[in-house]
Amino acid sequence: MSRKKADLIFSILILAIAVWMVWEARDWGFRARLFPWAIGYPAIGLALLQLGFAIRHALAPAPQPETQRAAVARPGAPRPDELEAIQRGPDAAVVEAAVESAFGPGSEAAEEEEELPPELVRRRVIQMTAWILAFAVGVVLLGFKVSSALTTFAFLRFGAHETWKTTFWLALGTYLFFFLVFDYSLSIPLPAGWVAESLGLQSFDSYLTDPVIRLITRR
Amino acid sequence: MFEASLNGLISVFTWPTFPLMMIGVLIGFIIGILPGISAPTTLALMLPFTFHMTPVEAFAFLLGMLSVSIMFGDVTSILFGVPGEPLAAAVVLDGHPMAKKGETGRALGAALMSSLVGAAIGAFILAASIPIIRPIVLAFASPEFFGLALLGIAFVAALSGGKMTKGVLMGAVGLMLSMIGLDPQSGTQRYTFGQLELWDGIGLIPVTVGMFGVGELVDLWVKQKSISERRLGKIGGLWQGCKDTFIYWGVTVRCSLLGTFLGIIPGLGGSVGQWVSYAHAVQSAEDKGGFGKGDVRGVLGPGAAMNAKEGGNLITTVAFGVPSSVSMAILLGAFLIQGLVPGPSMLTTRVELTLSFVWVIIVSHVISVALCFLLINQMVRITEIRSSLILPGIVFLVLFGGFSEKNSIFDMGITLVAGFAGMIMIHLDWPRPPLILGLVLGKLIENNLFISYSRYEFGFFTRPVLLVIIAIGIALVVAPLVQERLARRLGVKEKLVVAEEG
Repeated sequence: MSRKKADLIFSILILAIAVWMVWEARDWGFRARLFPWAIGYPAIGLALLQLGFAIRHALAPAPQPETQRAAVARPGAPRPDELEAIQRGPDAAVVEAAVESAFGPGSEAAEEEEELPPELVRRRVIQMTAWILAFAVGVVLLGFKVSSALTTFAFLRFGAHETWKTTFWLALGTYLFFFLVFDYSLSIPLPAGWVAESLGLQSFDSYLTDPVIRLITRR
Repeated sequence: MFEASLNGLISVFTWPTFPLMMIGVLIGFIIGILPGISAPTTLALMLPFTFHMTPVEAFAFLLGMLSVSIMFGDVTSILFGVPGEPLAAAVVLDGHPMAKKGETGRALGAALMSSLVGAAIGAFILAASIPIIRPIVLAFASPEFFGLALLGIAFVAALSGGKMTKGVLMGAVGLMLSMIGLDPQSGTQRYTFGQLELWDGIGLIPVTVGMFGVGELVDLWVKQKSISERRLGKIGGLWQGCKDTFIYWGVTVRCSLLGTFLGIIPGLGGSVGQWVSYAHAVQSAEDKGGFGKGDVRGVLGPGAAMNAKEGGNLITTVAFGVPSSVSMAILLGAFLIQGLVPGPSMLTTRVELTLSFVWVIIVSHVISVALCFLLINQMVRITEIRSSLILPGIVFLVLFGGFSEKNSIFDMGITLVAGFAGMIMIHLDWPRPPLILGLVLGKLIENNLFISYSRYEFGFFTRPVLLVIIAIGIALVVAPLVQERLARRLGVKEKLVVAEEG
C-alpha cells in the first residue's frame, strides 16, 4: 500500500473515532458529556479538514524531487523549518555554507549514512516487531524475571548472532537487574507468569533465589 | 526567596536525592552519547522509576538526566560529526572540523564549559523570573488555565514538525484518550467497553513509553551498528576549550541569553534555537572566514544556547503548564505522577521545589564537567557499543514501563498497541508529542472547563485574557495554512513570470 493511501486510511480512522466518541456521549448526563463534546465536535471538524488534505494529496501527481532540500537531508541536518530560520537570519550565506559542508553530499555524515535498501528495512522492521511481541508473550507466560533471562538469551544468540559468552553474561545481567532492582529492592510484585500460575507455583526462579537470599541475609 | 533558594540547594544534597541525581547524570551521559536513543524516550522510560520517589528526588533524577543528555549530545557531534541528540546538530558545523584539525580536546572543552555557563545562566533566569511571573499566574483563574492548556497543545503541535492540522488533531486524540474511564464529575463510565481495567482510564506511562520506546527500538535494529567503528586516540587539551569559553565570553553570554528567551517561547526553544544561536555567533564575529572550518565560537554559541534553554523551557512549564519542548511535555507527565499541578502552587507553596530545579540543573552540569575532565578517554568508549547489545534491556524497560503504573499486564498490552500506533504515525508523519500532551493535560483541562462552566456558565468565554489566549491559539493553527496558500500563490506567480520572461 502506498504511503498516500495509508495516510488517507489513517485520516478516515481518526475521523471515525472522533464521530464515534461524540455519538457514544449522546445519552450521558450534561456533566459527563460536556468535555467529550467540547473536544469531539472541533475534532470532527479538524478530521474532516485533514481528510480533505489527504484526499487532495492522494489525487495529486508525485512531486519532483527538491534538490536543495535533498542536499541537506542527512541525519542531524536542519529540518525545512530550521532551514528557513537559517535562511532568514543574518549572514545566511556563511551559515548555509557551513551546513552544506557538514551535512551536504560528500560530507562525512553523508558518507557514513549509507542508504539501506527498502526491502532490508522492511525485513528488519518485521523482525524487530516479531521479537518485541515474542518478548511480551514471554512475560505473559513466564513472568518478567525468568523471561528477561530466556528471551534476552534467545534474542542475542539467534537474532543478533552474538557469541555464547556475551549472550550468557548479558542474559544473566538482565535477570539480575530485574531481580535486584524491582523484586528485591523496590518490592514490586512481579507476575510469576501464566505457566507458573497454572501449575500452582510461586514462581520458577524463587526456588533458586530464596535459599541464596536466606543464606546471605543470615550471614 | 533567598531562604527558599537555600532550602532548594540543601534539598538537592540530601540523601537519597543526591545519589539519585548522580544516577540520572550517568544515564543522561550514556543516552547523550548514544545517537539511537533520544532524551524524550529515555525520560519516558524512566518515569516508572519515579513512582517511589518524593517530588524533589524524582525531579533531581529526571532533570539531572535531561540536562546532562543535552550537554553530552555534543560529544559525538564533535568526535564523529553525528549528533548524539537532535539538539546537538549545530555543534557539528565547527566542532567536527576542529576534531579533524586535531583540536578534539579543545572543542570538547569549549562545548562542555559553554554548556555549563549556558545552563547556569538559564537556571538563574528561571529563579529570577519567579517573582515577576507570580502575580501574573495568581491573577489567572480556571477559564485562563483552561485556555492556556489548550494553547500548550497547539504550541506542541506546531513544534512537532509536519502539518499543523495533523498535530492539533493528535492533541485532540490525546484529549479523547484522557476521557476514557469514570467521569470525575458524575461517575459515568466513558468509553470503557465494560472493562474493569479501563475504569481508571488509560495510563500516561503505558502510552508514553510505547509511543516513544517501540519506534526507537525498531529504528535501532534497522540501523544495526555502533557509532564508532574506529578506535579514538587520547583526548587532551580540554583546558584550552574551557579558557576559550571565557576568552569569547561575549558570544557565550549572548547565546545563553538568546537560548533562554527562545526557550520561553514555545515552538522556538527546540531545535530552531541552535541554528539561530549559531547564526548569531557568525553574525557577531568580525572575522567570519573560519566558520564551518573549525572556529571555536561556532561550538560555544549553540553549546551555550541549547543548555540555557532548559531554564527558559521550565519557566512556562512550571508557571503555566505550557511545555515548550517534547521533553518538557513528558516532564509535565512526571508532575502529574507526583501529584503536582503546574501553576500558582509551584510559585507559592511549592517554590522550594521549583528552586531545587535551578540547583539540579547547575549542580548536574558542574559534576558532569568535572567527570569529563577525569574520565573523558574512558567515557567515549561507550560509542563502541553495538545497538544489538542494548536492545533486549530497552525492550524490557518498555514492557516493564507499561506494566509498572498499575502492576497490570493489560497495561503492558496498551504499551504495545501504543507502540505500534506510534510506528504507523512515524511512518505517515503524524506527530506523537501532541497526543501525549493531550493525555497529560486532559484531566486538568476537563476540571478547569467544568469549574469555569459551573461558575460563569458559557459567559467565561468573554473574559478578555481568555479571548487573547484563544486568538493566539487560532492564529497558531491558521497561520501555517494561510502561509502555505500564500507561498503557493506566489510560487505560481513566480513561475508565470519566469515563463513569460523565458
